Amino acid sequence: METKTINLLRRAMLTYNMRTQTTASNLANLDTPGYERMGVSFEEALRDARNGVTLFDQTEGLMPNVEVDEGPPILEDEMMELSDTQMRVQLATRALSDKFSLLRTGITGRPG
Amino acid sequence: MLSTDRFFSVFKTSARGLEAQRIALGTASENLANARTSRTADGTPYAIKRAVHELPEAQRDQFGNMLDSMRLGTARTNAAHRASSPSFETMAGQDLGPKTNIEEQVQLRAEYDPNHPHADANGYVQYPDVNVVEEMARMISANRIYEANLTAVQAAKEMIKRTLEI
Repeated sequence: METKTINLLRRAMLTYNMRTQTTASNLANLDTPGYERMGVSFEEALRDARNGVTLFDQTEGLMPNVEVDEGPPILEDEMMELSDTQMRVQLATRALSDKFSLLRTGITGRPG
Repeated sequence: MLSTDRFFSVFKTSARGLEAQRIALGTASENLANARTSRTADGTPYAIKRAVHELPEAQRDQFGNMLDSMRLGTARTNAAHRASSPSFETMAGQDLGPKTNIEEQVQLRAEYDPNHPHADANGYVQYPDVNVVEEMARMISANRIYEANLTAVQAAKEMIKRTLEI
């Protein structure tokens, strides 16, 4: 079974789930004094792990991370991140269901 | 921690955000409505109300830590030196929205009107010093942030729906 793709997509979905949560928090606290913007990092760390030249696959155990930036959240940026995350969720769920239907075809021998 | 809690704490957070803006809108319209209230039930002019938002727990602890470190004379300036950013495990399930309280502040302005029944010995009437333009701006801002929070709820719903379609 090819679980590597599914595993990666699983972690991507977890990232988007967390990001929706931090964005919701940033929006809820737009005018809370002293609040510092929260974000989730995963894609950049993944890219760095991919580019690193090592014998072992560094991307395998990579998990999303919550980060606290300095400074307050900005409304426009948060709205952008919200739609960005939504698009990424659509992409990931599409990729996942395609993957599963491929596996199903392999198991049953019937397309779809 | 149930994995469903991860999903549904978004709604808790956004609910707190919506509540905060609803209270802000309420206080602004109350201030506008009472701009000419020179006497309330306890005999004083109307006190201006303000919605005050407090940090969510996840960040309040951090701020507390920061205060402690400053007291010890070792203020951290670099984000990397900070005690810890909230992990997802501690974040999941709890709401990350603000806590909103209403605070009253007495700000008065005097108007000369000797025939007014509430006038003092010198003929001045005390009114709350409500800045109408400021209150209107607060109302618009609260409205917009309320909308932004609604969009976040919508996005979270959409995301859960997509996840169930896999």
